[in-house]
Amino acid sequence: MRWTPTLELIKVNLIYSNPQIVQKKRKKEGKGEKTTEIYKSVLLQNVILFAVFLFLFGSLFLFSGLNFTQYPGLTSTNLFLFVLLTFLQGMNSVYNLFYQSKDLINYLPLPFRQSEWFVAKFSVLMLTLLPFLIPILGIFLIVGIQANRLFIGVVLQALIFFIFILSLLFLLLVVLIHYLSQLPLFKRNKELFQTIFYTISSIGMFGAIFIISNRNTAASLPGELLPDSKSVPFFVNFHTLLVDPFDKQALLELSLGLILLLFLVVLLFKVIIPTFFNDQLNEQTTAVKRSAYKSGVQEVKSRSLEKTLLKYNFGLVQNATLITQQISSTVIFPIIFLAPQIINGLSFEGLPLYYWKSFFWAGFVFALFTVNALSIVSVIISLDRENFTYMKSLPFSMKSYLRFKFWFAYGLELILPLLLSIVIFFFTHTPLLFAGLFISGLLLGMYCISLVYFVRDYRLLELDWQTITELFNRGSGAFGRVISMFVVMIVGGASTAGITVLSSLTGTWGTMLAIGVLALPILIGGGLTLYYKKKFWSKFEIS
Amino acid sequence: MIEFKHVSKSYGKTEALKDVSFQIKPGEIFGLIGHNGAGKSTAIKSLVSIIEPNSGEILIDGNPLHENRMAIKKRIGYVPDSPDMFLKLTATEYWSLLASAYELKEDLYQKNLHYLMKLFDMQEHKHSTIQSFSHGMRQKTFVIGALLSDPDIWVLDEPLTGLDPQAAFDLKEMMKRHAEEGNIVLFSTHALEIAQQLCNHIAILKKGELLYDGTIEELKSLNENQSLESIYLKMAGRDAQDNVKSQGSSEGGEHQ
Repeated sequence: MRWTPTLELIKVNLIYSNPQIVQKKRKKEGKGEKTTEIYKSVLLQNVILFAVFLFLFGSLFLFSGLNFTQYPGLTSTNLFLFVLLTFLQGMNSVYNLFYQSKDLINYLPLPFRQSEWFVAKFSVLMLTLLPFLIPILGIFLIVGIQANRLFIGVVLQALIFFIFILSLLFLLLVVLIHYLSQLPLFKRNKELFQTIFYTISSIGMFGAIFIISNRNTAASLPGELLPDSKSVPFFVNFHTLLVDPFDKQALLELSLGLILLLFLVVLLFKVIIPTFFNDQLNEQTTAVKRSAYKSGVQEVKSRSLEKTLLKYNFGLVQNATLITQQISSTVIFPIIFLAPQIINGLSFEGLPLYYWKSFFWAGFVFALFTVNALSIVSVIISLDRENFTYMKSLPFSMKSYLRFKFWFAYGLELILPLLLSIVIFFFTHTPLLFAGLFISGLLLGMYCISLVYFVRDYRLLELDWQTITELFNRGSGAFGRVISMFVVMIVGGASTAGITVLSSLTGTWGTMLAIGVLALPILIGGGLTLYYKKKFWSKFEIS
Repeated sequence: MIEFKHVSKSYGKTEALKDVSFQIKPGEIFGLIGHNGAGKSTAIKSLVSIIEPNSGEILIDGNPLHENRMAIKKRIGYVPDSPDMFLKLTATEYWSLLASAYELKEDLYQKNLHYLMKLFDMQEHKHSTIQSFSHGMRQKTFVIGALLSDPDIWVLDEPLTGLDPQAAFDLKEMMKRHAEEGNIVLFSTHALEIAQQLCNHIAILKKGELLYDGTIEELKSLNENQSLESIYLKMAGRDAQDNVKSQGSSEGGEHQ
């Protein structure tokens, strides 16, 4: 492996890893002679992000008031959860990066070694996955510091453990995905497997974060001893060695991990990498040949424009990952939260009329919860790819074109929540008035959130994406998405609960609450409409 | 010398190359001519390691390509048929990537880059992203990238498409000069007049089959008083007859 070409490849991959930052930076610098090496900005931004995560999670553990040296079970469970979280996220990333990446074909004619290409891709994988894994570095540091050991020694040991886990995890991921992708079953059902990876990643990430944050908020007062959970084998050794660096049993067990690591390194460099390019060669070229004929606009026949656009847009959204995402973000969480209640006989039958406010508000909040950066409405313009530019040249109004797209996506966004609501109304015997109010709130909320994400798609427009995850990761990326989901969940949940509690109020306060619950969503909807009319739709007036 | 020996490649049921054999000697400008889907790009992509043929062998100076990929790649400068890659990089970032792959020494890189940028009038655009370029400017960027390391084999897939007249003229002159220095230039084209202008050796492909392999002069002498266009259309066009192929192989030395 040669270092200079590898570093150049890493730089290129860094640029591709965050097109948003790169574009901003380039715009700022213009075309002048003095351009900084752009990859440094990407790197710096990531380093800052890692530092913030390290600090945040470190503080979370530090201020939990626990002396982690006395909690091998809790420590090892936390380590395991973060590794699991990274692993789940990594499955999708590794598959996308190594087996779905359309750029390999560009590198094939160039004199790069396969190992160089691999290492460069690893660097991007690292940037994608480090935010999820970095908290374990915090855990190592805290356990070591709490064990009253020499600070430098703790830092060194924490770094070694961190790199060890990171390497083991990456290698396991690459080897696993490689051998999975070789299975005939996998080759026949690529789209399905990709969807499975994506779903596991998304749900796993949310689930793991949920468990981790719940575990740590349940901490006790300083000095108070909580019963420890059961230790997780292998992971507990890190805890043992941070408390006592010479524990023979732990050293022995970790050395088994080291042997596995060495075995995986040999497997990767001697078996997987040497055949990787050849394995991908035919796949890539056949795929290119096939995809060259895929284009929605070719199917234009002499039918009405609306019908053609409808068919065209339906063609655009037929992407397995997008559809799965749509289903999972709409259906899974309501089922997780409501299914047990419904099974336990939750019923809204005979509920006093004054609870109407809760239903209207809940519908509004539910809509906000179902739409995020991964929804159809959030990518519908970018899905056009180069067709979008071409559309501009066609003799029809871009405003009408975009409006059509918006209402099309809005309609699609509504289907699942509406169906799900009807099913829930049925099982919970919801009175018609409440059901109607919930749906009104849903329609309004969906309009507001869809409009925001639709305009966001135009603002972050990306027409030459290689995989749809590039569109999903625009803006604040996966972590930002999870955080915004949490905010909606907490604020939305708390406000709905508050309104429900206060629903029985009568008199002036009751009237004010009723007016507030009705007026706020309507005002938000109206405000957004006016704002975007001026700031967004007006841009297309002339076209 | 480049040798294609019984090279075949198929995509599913479609045969893109059928048992194709030809040789390109040093000092030749070799033109691959054919309709869309004739197999020109497949032949070129096999040579530059983008495609692995199903059967047959490609040799460079007697060395099998599949056994010496890295060394052979370093000897080839390749311009792809569609200049739509590395779009998010600036031209300089792209050239720097290539310089590192070809292990070009910094001073030589700067010298060659300066010369090529000036020749193709790209100095002002070197810090712009390839995405922001017109088709012609992208083509220039990739031509510069291919020629940066001064490789002895140039493989150019439709290299003149989109170039402005000056750039096209300069590139053609460079191709001639490169061949005169004893190197190989292989390029594909639809434009017969360009082939006539440049090539001292052509191959005509149709639906993956090699219809003709020889010089333009030989081809013309077999079809006296006919333009290259009518000869080509007679062989590869809509009304092509199979007997042309047999005529070619029985009368010409290297013809198939």
